[in-house]
Amino acid sequence: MSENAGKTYDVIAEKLNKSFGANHVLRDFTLSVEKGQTFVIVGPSGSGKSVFLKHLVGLITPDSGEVVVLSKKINELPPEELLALRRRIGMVFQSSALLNSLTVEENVGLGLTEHGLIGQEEVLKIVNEKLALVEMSGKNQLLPEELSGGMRKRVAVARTLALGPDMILFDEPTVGLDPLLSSNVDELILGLKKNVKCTNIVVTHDLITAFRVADRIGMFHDGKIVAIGAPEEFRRSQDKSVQEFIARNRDWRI
Amino acid sequence: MNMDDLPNSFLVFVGTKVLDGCNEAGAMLILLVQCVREAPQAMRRKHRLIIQMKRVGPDSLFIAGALALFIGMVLALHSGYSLRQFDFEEALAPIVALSMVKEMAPVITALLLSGRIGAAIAAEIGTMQVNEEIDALHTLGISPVRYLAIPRLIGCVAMLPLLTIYAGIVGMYGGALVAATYFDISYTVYFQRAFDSMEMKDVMEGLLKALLFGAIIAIVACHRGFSTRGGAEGVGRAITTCVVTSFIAIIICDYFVTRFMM
Repeated sequence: MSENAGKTYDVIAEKLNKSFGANHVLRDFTLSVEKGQTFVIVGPSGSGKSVFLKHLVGLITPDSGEVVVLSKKINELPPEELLALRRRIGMVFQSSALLNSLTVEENVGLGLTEHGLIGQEEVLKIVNEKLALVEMSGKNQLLPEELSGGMRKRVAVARTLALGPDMILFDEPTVGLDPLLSSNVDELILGLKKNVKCTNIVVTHDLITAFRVADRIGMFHDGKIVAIGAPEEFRRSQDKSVQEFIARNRDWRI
Repeated sequence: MNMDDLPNSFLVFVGTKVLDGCNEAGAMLILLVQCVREAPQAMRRKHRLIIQMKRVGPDSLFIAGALALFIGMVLALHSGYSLRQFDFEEALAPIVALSMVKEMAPVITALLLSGRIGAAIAAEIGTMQVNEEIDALHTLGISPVRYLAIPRLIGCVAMLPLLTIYAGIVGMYGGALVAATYFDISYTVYFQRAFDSMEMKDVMEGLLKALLFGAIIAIVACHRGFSTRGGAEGVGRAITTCVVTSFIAIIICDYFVTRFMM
C-alpha cells in the first residue's frame, strides 16, 4: 500500500501509455484505487480496459509510465519477486481460464499445491472451504468442460481466493452469461466484499453490475479514465461519454 | 512494381527472414537457459516428470520399434544386393549396424518424436496460451516454464537416448532378418560381425545426437506453444511451424555433430 493524504492505496497508475502497433490503447492513463475498495472500470467492450488490468499483474508492460501495486513498482521487480507478488493478487479472467485438464479440486488447489507451503490435507481443507464460499461444494471431481459458464466463473473465483489474495481483479465477470447468471456473479462479488474484505477491481461493460457492486466507478474512454465517482455521483456525471454509455445500457438485462 | 526494385525487395525479403530466424533462435536459447536455471525447483514435482517420460518413452515404443525394424530391413536389402555384386556380403552387418547406431536410430526416432510428441506439446501449450490458461498460471504465481516446459524437456532429453538404443537394436534385428532370409547370413554371424565393427565412440555419437535432438524437440515445441496467438488457427500454425522447425534443426544439428565426432 502507498499512503497519500491519510489514504492508503493498493494501486497507483501514473501516466501509463500502451500501444499495439498503431492502436494506442492507454493514453496517459492515471488511476488510484484505495485499499479495501471495490473499484469498477466501465467502458465499451474491446476498448482496452482489460489491458490495464493485465498491467497490474505484470502480464503486459507499459511503453511508458509507472504502476505501483501493493507498494511494489511492478515493472521493476525481478522474476521471483514478481511471482511472489502475483500470489497476493487474484485475477478472474473473462474466459475463467481454468486448466481444462485438471478437475475443479485440482484447479482450486493448484496455487497451494505448486507453492508447496502446506500439506495435501490442508490444501483439500482450504479447497473445500473456498468451494463452499462460492456455492460449489461437492463439485470437486468435475472437469471444467462439465461446468456451465457461471459455475466456471465461481470456480475461478475460488481458485483466486485459495491463495488468500490482498486484491482481486475481475475481467468482464458477466460477459457471455445470461441475466440470471450475471446476477449470481454480482451476488458473488458482493459476498466477497462482505466476507473477504480485499480490494476488488472490476472491469466491465455491464452497468448493472457496476452500480450493484462498486464503491467507485471510473469511465474508460479513449485510453484514459474520463469520469470518476461513487455510483450516484457517476450516474449524475455530465461527461458526454458517461451519459452516452448510460443511455445505451439502459435496457440491458431488462 | 518497378523491375529495378526487384533485387532490392529480394534482399529485404531475405534479410527479414534471416532476422526473424535469429530472433526465434535467440528466444529458444533464452527458454533453454530459463529451463536449466529453474530445473532444480521443477525436479521436486516428480510425478509430473514421470508422466512426461512415460508419454515420450513407453508410449512411443511400438511405433518407434516398427519404424526402426523396417528401416533396418530396407537398409539391409539395399546394401545386400549392392554388396552381392562385389561378392562382399560380409560387410552387410557392419553397414547396417553402424548406419543404425550412428545415424538412422537417433535421426529417425527424433523425427518421429518431433511429429508425435513435439506437435502434441505445441498444441497443448498453444491451446492453453489462447485460452488464457498460461496467463492464469502467471497470476497464481506459478512459472509456466517450471510447470510446463521443464517436465517436457526432461521427458524428451531422458527418454530419447533410451528410445534410440531400443530403435538401434530393433533396426539391427530387422537387418538380421533380411540377412538371414535373402543373403544366407546366420543371426549369430550377423550379430558377431555387427558388434565387432562397432566401437564405444559410435554408440556415444548416437546417444549424443539423441540427447541434443530431445532438447531441440522440447524447446522448439514449448517455444512455439508459448508464442501461439490467434485462436484455433494460431494453434494449427504453431503445430506446423513446430514440426518444420524441429525437422530442420535436427538435420542441421545432425550434420555438425557428425562432423565434430569424425
